Amino acid sequence: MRIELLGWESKGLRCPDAAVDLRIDGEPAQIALIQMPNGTGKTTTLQMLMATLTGVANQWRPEFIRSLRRPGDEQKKGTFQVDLQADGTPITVELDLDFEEGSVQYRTTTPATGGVLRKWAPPPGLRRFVTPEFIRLFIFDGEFAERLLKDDTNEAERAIEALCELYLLDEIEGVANDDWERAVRNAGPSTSQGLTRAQNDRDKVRSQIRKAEKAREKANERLSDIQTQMTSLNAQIETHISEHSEIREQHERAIEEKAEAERRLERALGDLFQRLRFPHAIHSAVEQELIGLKDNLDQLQLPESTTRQFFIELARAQECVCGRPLDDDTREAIATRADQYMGEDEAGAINALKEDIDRYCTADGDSSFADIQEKTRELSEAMHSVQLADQTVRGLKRQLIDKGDEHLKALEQQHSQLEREHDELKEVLQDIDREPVSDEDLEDSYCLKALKSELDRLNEKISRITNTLGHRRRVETLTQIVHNAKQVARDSIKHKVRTECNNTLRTILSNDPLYIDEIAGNLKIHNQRGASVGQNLSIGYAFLLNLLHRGTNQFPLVVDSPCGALDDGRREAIGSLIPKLATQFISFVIPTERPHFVEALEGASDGEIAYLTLFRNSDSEVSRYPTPPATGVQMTNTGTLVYGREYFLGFRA
Amino acid sequence: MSTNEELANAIETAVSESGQQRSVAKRLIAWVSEMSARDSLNKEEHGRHLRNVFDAMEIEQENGNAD
Repeated sequence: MRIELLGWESKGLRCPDAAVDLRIDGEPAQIALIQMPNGTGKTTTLQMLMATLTGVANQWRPEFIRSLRRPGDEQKKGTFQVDLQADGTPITVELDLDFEEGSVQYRTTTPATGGVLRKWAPPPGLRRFVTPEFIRLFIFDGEFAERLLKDDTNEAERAIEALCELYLLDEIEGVANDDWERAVRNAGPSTSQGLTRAQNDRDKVRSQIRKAEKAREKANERLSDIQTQMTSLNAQIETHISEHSEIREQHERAIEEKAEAERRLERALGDLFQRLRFPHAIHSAVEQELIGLKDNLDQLQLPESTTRQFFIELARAQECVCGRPLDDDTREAIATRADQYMGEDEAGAINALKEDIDRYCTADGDSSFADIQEKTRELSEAMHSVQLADQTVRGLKRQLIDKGDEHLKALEQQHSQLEREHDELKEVLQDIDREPVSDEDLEDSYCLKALKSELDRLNEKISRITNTLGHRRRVETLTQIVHNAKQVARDSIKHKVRTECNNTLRTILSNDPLYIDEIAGNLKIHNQRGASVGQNLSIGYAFLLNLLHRGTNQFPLVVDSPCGALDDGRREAIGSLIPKLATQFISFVIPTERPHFVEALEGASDGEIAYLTLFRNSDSEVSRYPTPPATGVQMTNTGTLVYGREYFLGFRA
Repeated sequence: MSTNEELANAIETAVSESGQQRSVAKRLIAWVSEMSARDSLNKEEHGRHLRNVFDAMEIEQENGNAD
């Protein structure tokens, strides 16, 4: 599906009244730049776009709805209307806000429904793309870029799942399960008490699974909030300490040392794990045992003497290896039983094991063990350095608190409280995702693996009672296939997206190359715990543009402040990239973002670019703005919207 | 390669690993392709695809007794 935004219209809201048309000669422009000076209501516009498209305004509270009324305005109602097209079919969604009542009302117009429906009702095929989770993928801002890189979030994987249609496989699983449920219901009236009991038990387990999943979702959301708050608190603490000249330098040095020690710790940990993959390196005794195993295999002539091929050849011989003659019956028996012995795969695995033992294990066993000991020592040292640096940082803070710094004390207390909550939530998540224990009491358990295994057992039982076992087996086989297919597809897409992103990053960040090591929930950056705001934004662009480009569905990419934190070089690189990767790019810019970015966009774009400039008539700076041209201007009571490149580029705020 | 080809390859791999015939993969891919290409499938259409996939499956039947 190709979704394109055609425009929107706003009336009576915090943003100026305006009807924004993103089309050139009736067709949506591939690139539309909307210039709005600070304070023109970009945030409100984005919020209204999101709410109109997703239907979330139905859950808004009355006081929030009223807060969207233009300050000082007496208007009772406000409206936001979005025009879009899905595969060329026009769709209009309107959101009416009643400020008096604090309520909202949607209206949807599509050719499929033949008129206006007084509710939020996008066509069924569009619905999966207008959920809040999905929409925020293509309404992109710096915050989203940060979330892509944040630990403990799976934003990057969710984006892959959504844009690469992996959810279709979930839909198949749902259809198969519903089908089996129907078969159980249609199995005829059953008086079996066993069936009723099993169904009741299953309902309880299902309800417990839902509770556990809900708890996991809530814990993850809260963890994400906590991390944002901790990042902000850390920044506040850093700023506060840097104001104390007597310890500023010491503190900066300690922070640098801590960061360096953490990098060393990460390296040492990686090195050690790399070596632990080789069993002979763990201890010299393991190495000696492996050499012994190989000697024993040689002595027993394994695998040669027990391979299937050996017996197949023997079945063709006239005499057995023991010298006794073989007749047709014995030869047939040998040929039939040959299948019981090792095939090429098994024999190959044993031969590979023997070869590896020969290659890696030495009789004295000292060298690899010494190596692992050395890596363990490096790891301990790195851990010690991290602790020391941490102690220094804490000591400096303590110094200030002891001198009566109440502000720092309050910040530190908030930080510790968040840390405690963070650890508790981690424990909750560990309990949900842990391995089951034997004789687990499932009544109050949140262990998802144990609960799901019990659900399987009960489904099996119900299948037997209702004679739908064959049906159940098919559903299970299909479920297994779609789960595996999803995993295989996800791994393959992740690998390709990572490669493509890293190629893009080489261009965007040519001066300070960064690359994505792994996509595992979030984006893991090589050897780097944090990146600058500009780097985050660049990585976010690279990821999202590549992902949007490779998906089978095409969406507009709406970006707020596309290059605020980027230097000139990165603006040029991203500006050149966007027209190649985005099918529709709509961006809210402020005048200071134009240099380098707009030139690069123009240079790389084949089509015409839509230039729009929107400002408030009540803006205190309005007298300094250039006079709008005679044509291509739309004026309302509250705002002026000017179409055209010349005005756009000449606009100074 | 488009994503649907990636999905199709993944389905073929998963079906092969499950020991089922290639026809199961073909029918599943046809189902996914229709879901991807069309606005939405109704219950009957999903049901038709599901029957097709089930018909191609080889399942060992157990004659277990109900308890």
